[in-house]
Amino acid sequence: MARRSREEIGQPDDPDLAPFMNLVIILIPMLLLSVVFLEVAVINVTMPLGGSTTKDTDEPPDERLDLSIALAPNGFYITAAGYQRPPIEGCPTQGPTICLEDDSVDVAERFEEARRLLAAGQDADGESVMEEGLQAYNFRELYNMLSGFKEDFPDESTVRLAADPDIPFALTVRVMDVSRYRLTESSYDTNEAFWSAEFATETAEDGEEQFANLFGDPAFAVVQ
Amino acid sequence: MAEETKGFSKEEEEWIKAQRAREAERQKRLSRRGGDDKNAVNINSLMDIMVIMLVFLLKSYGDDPLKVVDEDLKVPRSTAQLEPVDATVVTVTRRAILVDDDEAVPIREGRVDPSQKGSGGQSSMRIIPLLDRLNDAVEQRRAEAQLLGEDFTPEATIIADQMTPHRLVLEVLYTATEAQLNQFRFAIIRSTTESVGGIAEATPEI
Repeated sequence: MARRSREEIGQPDDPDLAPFMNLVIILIPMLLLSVVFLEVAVINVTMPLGGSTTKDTDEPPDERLDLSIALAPNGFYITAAGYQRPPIEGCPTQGPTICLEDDSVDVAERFEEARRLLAAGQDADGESVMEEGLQAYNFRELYNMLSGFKEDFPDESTVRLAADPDIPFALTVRVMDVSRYRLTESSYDTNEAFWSAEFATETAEDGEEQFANLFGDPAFAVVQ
Repeated sequence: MAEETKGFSKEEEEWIKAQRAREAERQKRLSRRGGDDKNAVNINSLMDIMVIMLVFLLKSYGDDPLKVVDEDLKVPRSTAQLEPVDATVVTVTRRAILVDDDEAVPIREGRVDPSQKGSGGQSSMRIIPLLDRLNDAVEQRRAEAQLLGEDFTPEATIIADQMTPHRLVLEVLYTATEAQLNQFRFAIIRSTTESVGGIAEATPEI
């Protein structure tokens, strides 16, 4: 006898995929819209209470680096080995250790303007103005100085960060970026050479190649 | 017709007729739908593609634990390389501070209202509603770790907008330390040194 059809034995024809297809077609654009194609990473920081970021040690104070960078609207104030470093060559004698590279920029005003534009929903303009403020800082000289400290204190890796209350988080992150890894050279003369430099590498204890640490342990401190 | 069915019993004859009638009905139905099996579009391949895309998108949606870009939030770019880990998340947008996506306290002009702070008002570092939320979040995580038989690590990931004033970042960190959190990670958008330094535009516009 001929084979009995599916219809005959009570089975449906093909399953109706239309509802499932509809669901999939709605879900795919929704998920595509929600996906942000950005790589997220993190920066480890510590926040010891009381402001002390130095390790318990018997070393006398003048043998510790105890590096601290204060971010201000007119540049970076750097304290190391117990005293605030004087302004570098080319900076005003009463000013910060590393003054602004472009002193025609009123950084505080730029940041204020950026906040105003962002609050008004003009994100692109706000970011552009914020970037103008950030670019006025001399990160190259900051790296050159930190690199010099590292040669004198190769085992130190902590840097304490302080800042004026209105300094934006973006500047703090950029300073952490500059102080995180050593570059292939210990000093740079031009910004282009500095920003396009590769990270130096070193061999870790487990034999793996890794980026050479400069001052990669940032600490935020609050003195109560 | 009579010749075709010659030799069949009457029952078999009836069955063959019923089969033919059913087949005719099926053909009619198919032609009403707009074609027969040969002309129907085969959507199996399309379905395969759709399902693969759906699984991929669902996976990437689930893998991304941190939301770093929103209407009033954009975290800074950085050259940091560390991968994010699962931890209590404190988000500081331009309008509010959130703990694990729940709003804890509003922000106006980069500041928390002094009435929301501990004794000392504006000069106080402690943000009371944030501290309460963090205490709850820490307790919840501690209980979860206990249930799973794991060690509880008191850590937090801070997602802060790039224009957040330094003072507010410090207040958030200080309040978090009061909630027994002592390891912090700042979330950033990974970028290249050239892009961070402004000598190359390597980061896509958002």
